[in-house]
Amino acid sequence: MKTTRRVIQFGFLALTLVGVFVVRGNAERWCPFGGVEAIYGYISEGNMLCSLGVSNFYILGAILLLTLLLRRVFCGYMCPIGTISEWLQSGARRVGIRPIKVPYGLDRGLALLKYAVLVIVLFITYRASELLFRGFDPCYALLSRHGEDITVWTYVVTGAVVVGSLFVVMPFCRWLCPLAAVLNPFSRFGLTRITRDENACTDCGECSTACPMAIPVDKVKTVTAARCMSCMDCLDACPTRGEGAIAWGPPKTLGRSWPQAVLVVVMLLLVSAAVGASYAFPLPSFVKMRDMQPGESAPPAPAVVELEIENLTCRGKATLLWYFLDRDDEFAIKGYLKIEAWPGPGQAKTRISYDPTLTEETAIKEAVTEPYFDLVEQFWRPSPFRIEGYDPLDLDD
Amino acid sequence: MRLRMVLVCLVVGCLTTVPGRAQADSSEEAAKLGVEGRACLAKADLEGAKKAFKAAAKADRENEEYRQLYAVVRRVIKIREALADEKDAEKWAKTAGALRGFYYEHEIYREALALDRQAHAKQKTTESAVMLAETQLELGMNAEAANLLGGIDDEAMTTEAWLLLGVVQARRGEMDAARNVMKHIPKPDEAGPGVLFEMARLHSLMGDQDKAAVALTKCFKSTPPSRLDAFKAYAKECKDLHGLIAHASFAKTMETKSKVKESKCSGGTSCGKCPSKGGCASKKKTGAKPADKKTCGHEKDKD
Repeated sequence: MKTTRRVIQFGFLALTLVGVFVVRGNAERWCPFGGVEAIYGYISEGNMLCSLGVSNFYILGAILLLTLLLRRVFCGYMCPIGTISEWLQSGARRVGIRPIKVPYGLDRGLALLKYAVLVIVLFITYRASELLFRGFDPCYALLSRHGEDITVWTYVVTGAVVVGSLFVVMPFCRWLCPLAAVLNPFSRFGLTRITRDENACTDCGECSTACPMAIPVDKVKTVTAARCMSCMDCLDACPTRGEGAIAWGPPKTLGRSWPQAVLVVVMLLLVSAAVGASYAFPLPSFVKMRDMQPGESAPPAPAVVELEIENLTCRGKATLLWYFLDRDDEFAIKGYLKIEAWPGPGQAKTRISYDPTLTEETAIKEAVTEPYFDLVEQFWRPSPFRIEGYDPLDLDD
Repeated sequence: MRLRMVLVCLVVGCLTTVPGRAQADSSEEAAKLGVEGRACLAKADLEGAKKAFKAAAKADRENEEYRQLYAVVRRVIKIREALADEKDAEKWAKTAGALRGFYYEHEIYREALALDRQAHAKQKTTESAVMLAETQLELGMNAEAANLLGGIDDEAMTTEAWLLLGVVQARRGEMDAARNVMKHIPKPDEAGPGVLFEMARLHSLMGDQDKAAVALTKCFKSTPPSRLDAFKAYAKECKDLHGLIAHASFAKTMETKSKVKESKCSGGTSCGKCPSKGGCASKKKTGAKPADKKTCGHEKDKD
């Protein structure tokens, strides 16, 4: 079972690294915690934070459902930080570093920190409408390829996680990870449980020793602790598993263990469904509608132009695009109605609705690509955007 | 065999040198047209500049500078035309601000003067007077600027207005009056880069080069990195800083590095929902050329 988990962990880590360093994709868009951070802004303003996309919501939904079914398997099988942390600990043991056994009471106390981290991160992120904690996030340092918001603190935190992982099993995941704080309530009511048959159990305590989350498995009949990752290390460690001393599955099946393959299949299905849904139902991650004037109504047949825009990488850029269309000066686009955009690296799809009786497609393309006067810096800037297949200068006319 | 080798070498040589030569020729031609375009700009001939920059961009399609200049000039011509017919006062002021920004960027002060006169006739505010006086000072129209600023009530005077009045008085040799103006000027720590630059000008004109150097250094520190070189070049050419330029401290002042982050502002009209509003450096202190500051939506240099 440990080997299966290691293979899956390796698979997800490899996928992440290939996505980040080979494909050079925007891996941040697949972070479930990004979905938690972006949900408020998407509901209240119709746009995602920074370079996040609605894929964050799909993946978050899949992970929450997965947690309801199988507990915190995301932490034990998929999260790159969890994987690296576990592997560091495993490596440290091999070179003779004994893990520090944190007293149970202290461990439980420290575990409350992640709720404080969650509250602080969400409060500040929602207020600022910006991912201000990126600069402290060890995962962002990896996913962003040392991105623009990286500070010295990113590496201080990353270094602390790395060093901490050598001496304590998964310290970040147990005590500080805000996503774990989000998943815990779902995991608490998770469908599957580790159950112990007290008659068959020899009370050797091996299960508790093996548990990376320091759950006292040998002291309970059913593991209800929210932090259980269904890693099955306790099952692996049990010398009397064959006699049915410990099992994993829904509570009523006490004595009958579900195979780990069920977990693997469900996990891969849900994650694939989330990825597939992101492509099949790509809701725009930036939506802005023009405020209608009193007495004004939407046209009966609005026209829509779809553009592939270069350099529309994030919400800040999308806000600039919105300004180009929603401005109130000489270059106002009178018939502009709505922007729906999918900001991201490379070319970003953008759909602009307009009233064809008031404006035309060329005016919209001009508004997007022409230079503009920066009111703050007080000088003219070229538009950062290029539209595929459209030359704004038309030098050959 | 040898003949074939020679022929091959000749063909290869031609194939490699002809496109390179052609490219060099078109770059040279584009450069010439670029100079022509700038000359047109200096004469406020925007149509001529547009034609020249378009031809330059066509001759050297890889050169982003000519493409941008052509695009901006084309846009500016459009807004200049639109301005003549604009009835909405707010829109007129906004468009005039953008046009003025262009004139100042390319030092077309005669055109800026006509625009500022129109703006002041329409608005009659201290701000519009300051803008007009500023352009008058650029054109050496000291008496007109002194008249204009001197006509503003003390209560309506802003720090900018006091500073310009001080500069014009110092230029005219009225040192006592200029010294009197100094009491209305805030401490350098409380001022934005536009005000700091004017302070440096005033101190320099009054002969206090140490104070001028302090103000100019602070001004450079609070200017965003992308604008610093242009700002320094402007300072080097500024006649009012003549005393400071000759002073020993000037070289060190010119080595000053920016201490502010580049603005992430998208140039919109409201900060309300800006994703960067929490950490916006431009809100507090940004600096284009000091003369360009007055119409800034963030009112950073207001007192």
